[in-house]
Amino acid sequence: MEVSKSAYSRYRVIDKMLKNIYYPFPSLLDIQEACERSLDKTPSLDTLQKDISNMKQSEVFEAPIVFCRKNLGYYYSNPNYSINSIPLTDSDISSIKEALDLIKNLGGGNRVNERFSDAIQKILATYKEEFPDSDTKRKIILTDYVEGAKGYDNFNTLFKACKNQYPISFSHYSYNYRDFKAIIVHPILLKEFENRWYLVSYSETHESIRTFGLDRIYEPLHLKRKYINCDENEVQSYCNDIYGVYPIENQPKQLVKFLTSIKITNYFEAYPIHTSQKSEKNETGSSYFTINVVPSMELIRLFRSYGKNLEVINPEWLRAQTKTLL
Amino acid sequence: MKKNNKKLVFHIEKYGHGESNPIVLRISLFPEYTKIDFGYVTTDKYNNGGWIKISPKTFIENSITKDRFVLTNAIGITIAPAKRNFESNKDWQYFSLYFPPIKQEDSTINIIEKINGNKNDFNYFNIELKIANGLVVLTN
Repeated sequence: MEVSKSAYSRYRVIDKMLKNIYYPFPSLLDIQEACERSLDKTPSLDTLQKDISNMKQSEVFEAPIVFCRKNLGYYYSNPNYSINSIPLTDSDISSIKEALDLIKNLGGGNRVNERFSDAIQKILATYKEEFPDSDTKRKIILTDYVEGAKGYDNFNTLFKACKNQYPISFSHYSYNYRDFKAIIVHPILLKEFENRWYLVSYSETHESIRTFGLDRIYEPLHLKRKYINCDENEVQSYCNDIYGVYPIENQPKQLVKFLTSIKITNYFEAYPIHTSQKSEKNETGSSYFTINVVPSMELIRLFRSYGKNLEVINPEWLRAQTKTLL
Repeated sequence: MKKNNKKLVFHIEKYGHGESNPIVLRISLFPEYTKIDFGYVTTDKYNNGGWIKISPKTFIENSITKDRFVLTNAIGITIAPAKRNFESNKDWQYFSLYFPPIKQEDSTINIIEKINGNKNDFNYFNIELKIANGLVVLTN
C-alpha cells in the first residue's frame, strides 16, 4: 500500500507520541493536537483512527499499536518499535543492490548521481551491508557508453534545473555554424538518443523549444528568473512525434512511407523506430512501413545507413534526400 | 557603500578589436571574483589553426575611473609564454579569465591583454555593464 506524503507526516507524529515515555498513552485528541502543532493542520479524529489502523495493517510498518482501556490511550506493545527503525529484509537489501547495479550498468558511471549512490550506501551501511559486493564487478548488462564523452559534468546541474524549473544561462558552441553564443533557456527535460544526451528546453534566444547537445553546453548557471512554461501539448509533440532529436526546420508532422528489403525487414519489425510504426508485408518478405513523425536529421541518417536495403516511398522530398545511395 | 552581494551574469557576445579575437560571451560579477567567458574559433589563417595563449598581465579597467584589476586565474587557456597549439583550422576553445571582484554598479569596462596591442592581442573596449541587465544567479 502506498503512503501519501501527508499521511506519512501524520504517521511520524503518531510514532513520536507513542515513543514519548514522558507522556504515555496519548489519546486521539492528544494526537490531533500534536498534529496541529507540528503540521499546522488539524486532521479529523476519523482520519487519525484510519491512520492508526493503516499503520497496524500495513505490510511495511506492521506497527504493534494497541489501545489501553485502563489509560484510555494508545501504546506500542513492543516498546522497541518505531517506524524509523523498520528493518530491511534480505530481499529488500538484495533488491536495492540490484536496482543500483542496474542503474550503474545502464547509465554509465558518470550518469549516476553520486549523491544517490552515497545515500544508498549509507542505508546499506546501517544494515552492515557492503556495496558493491564482489558480484557487481562482473557486468551483466553492457551498454555502448564510452568513458570520456563530453558534457556529463553538467548532467546534475541540468537535471536539477529541469526538476526545479530553474532557467539557466550557458555558453553554447554550434558544430554546424562554428560559433559561440550565450543562451538563456528554460529547461524541460533531458533526453538520451543513441547514447548521447540532450537538453530539451524553451530558448529565449530562439523563442521556441530547442534541443542542445550536452557536449556543446558550457558552464550552465541556475538563474533567479521567472520560468517560462511551454504548452504541454507542444512539448509532448516536440518530444514524441520524432525519431531522434533534431527536427528538420519547417517540416510538419507527416506520414513517411518506406520499403525495406528482406534482409532488414525483421529488424524493423523487432525494433520499431517509432510508436506510430505500421507495416504491410509483401509475399517476398520485404515490407512497407509507415511512421507518422516530424522528420529529423537522425531519420535521414538512419535511412541512408541502410543503403540499397531501404527505399523511401514518400514524401517526395525525403525520397530525394535519401535516394542518392539507392 | 554598496556591497557586492549578488551573483550577476551578463550576456555580452562582443568581439574584440581584431578579426581573429575570441568572442566575449558572459561576464560574471560575483562577490568573490569577476569572471569573463570567451569562445574562440580557429580561422584559415594558419593550416593547423595556429595557437592560443593569454598574457599574465591581462587586466580589466573601468573606462572612466581607470581602476585596473589584473588577471588572477585562467581556465581553458594557457598563460603566456606557454601556448596551446591547435590541430586544425576547424578547432575551437572555450575559456574563462578570472579577475578580482569589481563593484556591482553601472559601468563601462575594457579588457586589455596588451596596451596599444596589435589586432592579434585580445583587447576589448567599452563593454557596458548595466546592473539592471544582469541576470541573478541562484546560489544553491
